[in-house]
Amino acid sequence: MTAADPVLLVDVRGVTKTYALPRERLFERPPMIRAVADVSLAVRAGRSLGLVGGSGSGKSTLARLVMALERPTCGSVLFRGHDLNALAPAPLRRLRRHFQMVFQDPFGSLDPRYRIGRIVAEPLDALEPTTPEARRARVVESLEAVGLKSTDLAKYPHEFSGGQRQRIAIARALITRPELIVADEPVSALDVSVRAQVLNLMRDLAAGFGVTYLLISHDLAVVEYVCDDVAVMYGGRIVESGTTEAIFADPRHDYTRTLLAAVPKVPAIAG
Amino acid sequence: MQGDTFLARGLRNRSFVAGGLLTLALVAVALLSLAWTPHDPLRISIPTRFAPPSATHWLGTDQFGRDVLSYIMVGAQTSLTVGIVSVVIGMTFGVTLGLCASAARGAVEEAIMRAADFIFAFPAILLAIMLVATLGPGAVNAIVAIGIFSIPEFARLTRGAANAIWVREFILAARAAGKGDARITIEHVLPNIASVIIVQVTIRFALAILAEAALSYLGIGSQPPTPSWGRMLAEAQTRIFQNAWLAVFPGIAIALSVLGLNLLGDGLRDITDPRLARKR
Amino acid sequence: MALLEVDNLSVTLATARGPARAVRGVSFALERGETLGIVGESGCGKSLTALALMGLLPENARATGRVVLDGIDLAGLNEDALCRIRGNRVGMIFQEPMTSLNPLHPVGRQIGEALATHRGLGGAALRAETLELLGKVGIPEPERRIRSYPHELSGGQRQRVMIAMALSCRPEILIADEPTTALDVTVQKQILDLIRDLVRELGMALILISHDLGVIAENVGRIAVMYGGTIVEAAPTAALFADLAHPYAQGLFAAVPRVGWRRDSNARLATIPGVVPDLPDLPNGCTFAERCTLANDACRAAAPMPIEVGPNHSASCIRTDAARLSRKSA
Repeated sequence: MTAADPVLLVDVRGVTKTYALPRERLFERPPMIRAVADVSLAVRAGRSLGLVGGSGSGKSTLARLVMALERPTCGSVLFRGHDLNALAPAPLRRLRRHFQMVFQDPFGSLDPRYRIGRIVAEPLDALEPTTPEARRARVVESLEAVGLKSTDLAKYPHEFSGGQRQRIAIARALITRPELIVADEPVSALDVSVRAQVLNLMRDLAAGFGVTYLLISHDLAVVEYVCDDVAVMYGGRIVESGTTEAIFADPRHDYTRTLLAAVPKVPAIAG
Repeated sequence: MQGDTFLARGLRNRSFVAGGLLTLALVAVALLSLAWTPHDPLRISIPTRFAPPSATHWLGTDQFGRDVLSYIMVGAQTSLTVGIVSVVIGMTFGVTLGLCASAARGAVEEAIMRAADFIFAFPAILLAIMLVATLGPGAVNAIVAIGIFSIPEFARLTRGAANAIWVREFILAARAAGKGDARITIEHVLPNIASVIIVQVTIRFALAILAEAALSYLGIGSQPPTPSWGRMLAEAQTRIFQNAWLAVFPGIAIALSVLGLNLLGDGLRDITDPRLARKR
Repeated sequence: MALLEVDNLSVTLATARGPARAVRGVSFALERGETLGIVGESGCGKSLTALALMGLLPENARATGRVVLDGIDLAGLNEDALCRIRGNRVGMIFQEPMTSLNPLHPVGRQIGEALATHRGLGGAALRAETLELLGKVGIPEPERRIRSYPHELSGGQRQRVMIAMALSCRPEILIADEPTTALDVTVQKQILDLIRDLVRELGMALILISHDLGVIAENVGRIAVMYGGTIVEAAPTAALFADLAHPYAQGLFAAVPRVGWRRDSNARLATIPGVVPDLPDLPNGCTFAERCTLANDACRAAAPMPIEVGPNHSASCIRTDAARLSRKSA
């Protein structure tokens, strides 16, 4: 089935992912841990989905499953109707240009040995090699979209601050003009004033480039700012999902309520 | 532009400068000896044997009346050749195996690393002696033996360094960008562990010079009349109290070469890392 | 007289790019039982201020100024005396409990060591007190947990153990530097509630340091906002939110996404232009001048002194009139 529902980008169907822990005894089977347990979820074009939960809730594993960086133990992950784990390497690579990823650590996600121009062009080089002129134009376009200058092309990552590096990471994800960007805690390592800049940028790109996000975050306020829908994960399962407004206004599951109640509130500023 | 900054950084690093100068001197001496030496290093002259250092023979003469300085200069060729060839053998196989092990993980990694451990378990010099004893003594066999026994060290080091790179987020980013394991290994892993390998190359180079000296000292390395610092030491040891210069000068040559290479390795490690360079 | 008085505290760091004035003339006072929050972004000097109070600065740092605890000037004390005060009257908890606990010893023994050093307890009394402390910080089954090693505990429980160790000397001041940054939000709330209850119960003064405005706002009575090594604004919590005076503090608080914000308005988050500068690059005048829309030549010429903008409310800015005006009109 290739002509799937045009608005359905990601379709996760009953996915479970278990990992083997290190053996405790030599002749016993290693203990298993179930990071994601029978999760189903859909991301539709134009409706960014926020995945919230505590550490160990399985949200980052789910992000990697959607990116086809891990194989599910059972269940399937479909992108635009294609089962990512049934595809041969070549067609999977062709499909990859439509979904890209932004990582949490702005210091670890850029190879320190490469200049910005090459880092940003990486998905382009891997997925759709083009002429040097076109490549440069695309890199500049991508950098400018995230508020960086073409003169930054020749610099190395260590010459940039955390917020600027995260812009570079977003430029890299943007260069293949993807429909979906999976962002795993993209602002949690950033300072407050810089975080606001990056969040605004993410919203602008959603509006300007038609990007849909699968945003993984432990920060409910961040999810509320960027996402249209929310799924709450706990212990490897999705315990509640719905529109952002509905979940935040009227949480049904106990864990969601605990989570919302635990967020420290910043009082409104007078004036 | 990068060349400039690299050189500029290098010149500010004292170990790099000192090590580089010593190593350059070693190479220069070896090259010079191809074209010119003060005397014919192999010419035997019994009447002038055991001459102490003088204006004609700066470093004296040995038991056959050969000029020690000329002999040491030509010996540098042997040391360099042994170092280069054995390190190339060890590095090529060792780094390849290490990278494969790291990229493949699982059973392949286990097999490669246990094989390396197996070779590791034997004392290297003893194995070299065994190998040379089987294949027959000679410079080529010594080189091969030294090369083979630096493979596991390179493999283990490469695997360890590469594993530390594989867990970094930029590797995940490259996979998300659609790159395969082979491409990631070449484009991301190798450049990021290059400095570790370069340091190891200089250390193994120094060790190879020492190992060649040791094998020649034991009489199973390069054979006469090929000049070798190790054999010079062996031949000088019986007369160390009468004609000390015969042992001292080749000893100094070995020590300076090894020191130079080790300093160079230290310096290179510091300046090849852009993050370290920035903090400096 | 206040319990703790900090007067013109400065810390200079020796960096590869020359000396960096990481803390610049910080002054504040802390009364018994008072709770003070220090909030700011990375590199603002909040952690160094805390370490300077404890005399725990790194090797490359030099502190000047006066820190007076209950009438004793800590700067005039030698290492031994400082160590006694540090352990006995001031307790400190850090962001990452795993690095502050010895992985090779059971947690009971580590708490016990603190008790033995500071209070000279031993034998059955020591064990009883250890168990009581573990119970007090909310560790379930203290009898069993006393023998646990740090890696057997969750992050939240480890932080509870750290709190127990900090409490072992019955301190008069508790300094908590990002105590919950490594924890999940639900666990964070438990730990913060615990700290607040203990502070109230034991009558301690609290200095809570965090980058998280919500954590600060919910847990302290008085807030100091730091930027570029100086306290740019300080006020009781309610007064601060009612009348933000310093342009940086205004920008910082406007930049936080709030839960429920989307329902109230569709506006964008406000941002502060530019980036947090590296310490050695900070200007000599007002450290915020480069990113401030209101800055003029006078701002860049000299570091502004704190001025009173309300009762118990000060701001280090010579343009507060314009800043408050622009906020009201916005």
